[in-house]
Amino acid sequence: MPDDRDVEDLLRSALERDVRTGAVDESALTTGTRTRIRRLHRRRRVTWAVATLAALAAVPLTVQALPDGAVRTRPAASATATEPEPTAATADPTASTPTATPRGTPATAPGVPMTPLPAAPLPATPLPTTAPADPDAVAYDVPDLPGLVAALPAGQVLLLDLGQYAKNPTVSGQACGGSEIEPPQIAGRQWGYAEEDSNRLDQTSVDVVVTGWAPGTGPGAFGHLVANDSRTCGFSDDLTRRTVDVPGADETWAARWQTDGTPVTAGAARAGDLVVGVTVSNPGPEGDADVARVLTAAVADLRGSGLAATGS
Amino acid sequence: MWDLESLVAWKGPQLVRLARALLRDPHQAEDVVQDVLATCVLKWSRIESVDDPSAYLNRMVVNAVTSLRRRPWRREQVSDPADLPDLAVPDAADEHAERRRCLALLRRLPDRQRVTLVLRLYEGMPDEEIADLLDCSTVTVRSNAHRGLATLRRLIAEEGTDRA
Repeated sequence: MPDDRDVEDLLRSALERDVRTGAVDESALTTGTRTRIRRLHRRRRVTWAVATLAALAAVPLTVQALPDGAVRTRPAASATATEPEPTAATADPTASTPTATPRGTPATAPGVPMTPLPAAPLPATPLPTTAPADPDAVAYDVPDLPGLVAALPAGQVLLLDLGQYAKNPTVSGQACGGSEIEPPQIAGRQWGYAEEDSNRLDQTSVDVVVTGWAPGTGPGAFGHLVANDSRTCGFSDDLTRRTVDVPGADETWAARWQTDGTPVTAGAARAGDLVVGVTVSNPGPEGDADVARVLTAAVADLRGSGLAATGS
Repeated sequence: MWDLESLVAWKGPQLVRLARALLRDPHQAEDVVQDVLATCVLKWSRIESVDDPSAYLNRMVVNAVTSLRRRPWRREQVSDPADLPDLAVPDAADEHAERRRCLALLRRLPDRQRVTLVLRLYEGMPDEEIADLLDCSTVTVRSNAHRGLATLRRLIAEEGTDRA
């Protein structure tokens, strides 16, 4: 019969040689994590909206398309409960403490190599003629939009980058159901900005969605937004239609509405088969101008990327 | 803010392997780690302020696993056969099979014994830190480790007897 030391050695060997070297599907891990981020993001928004009702203050409730196409408002299992209390960084000037980095430039943890990401807009990518078979695959990556970032209202900080994903609402604020997106959405990316990373109810926040549509279907997708008749995503609030001037855009759309008392102003612009939607919650007095400026910058970014070549 | 793909490339596989070792059902590992990574992405501004983000994420996984199991622990019976996983224990025909068998038997251990052994042997965590994570004393940690090894010894011996 083995003694404790033998068992400990065997177990240590098993953990080192069989567990520590086990294969992990990073792609599936990324996809699953992205799904949870959406749930957490939505829960945060739902929390804000509930608090808004109580306080008669303001933060919007946005429902987004889920990977499985369902709309869920039930909070996901609490992941925040797993957070340990952080230990504050020491004052040791030699201590290596990662810092927040702009999108596309990941922080480097001590001693751990990071995979560099493209920092510049991606080159023009030939568009496929059909939607990808993998429901979570994208036909191309939506690049960073530096002009858009520069055009945001002053003081906005990035809170969320949902990465490359092809099941997005056209404009943040739409509620999405479980139907297949039609026409096929083949690329997309969402960002969330706010004045600070907190649940402060009266801050201005900006949500940006870029969606890429199958070649030649961009106008149709934009038409669904304008008519608010998409069977996949649409607005449930009463919209007050506006106009917005976006140089370089093929088409534009704008509206105002209120979500649980929160004023929202939004706009969208089409550049070929790409559509960018900008939603500003708790806009300041220059809210309409903010939307126009951000959309104009985004369209310029997208035109510059070469991705908007078709559908004009 | 981290790009998700970079975060996954940096820590994802390591965290999944840790969770696989900690959990009785290794198939839950990906779920636990996805929760942790999602929280990390959304709360990076907080996590970046800690001394060692890598260790912090490890601890988040341990917390997630122990939270998952906390309630069952309070009513757990050490030898409750209904609580044992339906896992095939491979024959120890060679060294690799022996290690796999050991891991399968590890998963039969009561949660606190298993988690304690994994944190000690896989993470190299000191008893004080394990005690802090599991909300118990260092004496209890040592006791769980000792009892875990003793149980493993017994299970290994029983497996040997069964095969003979």
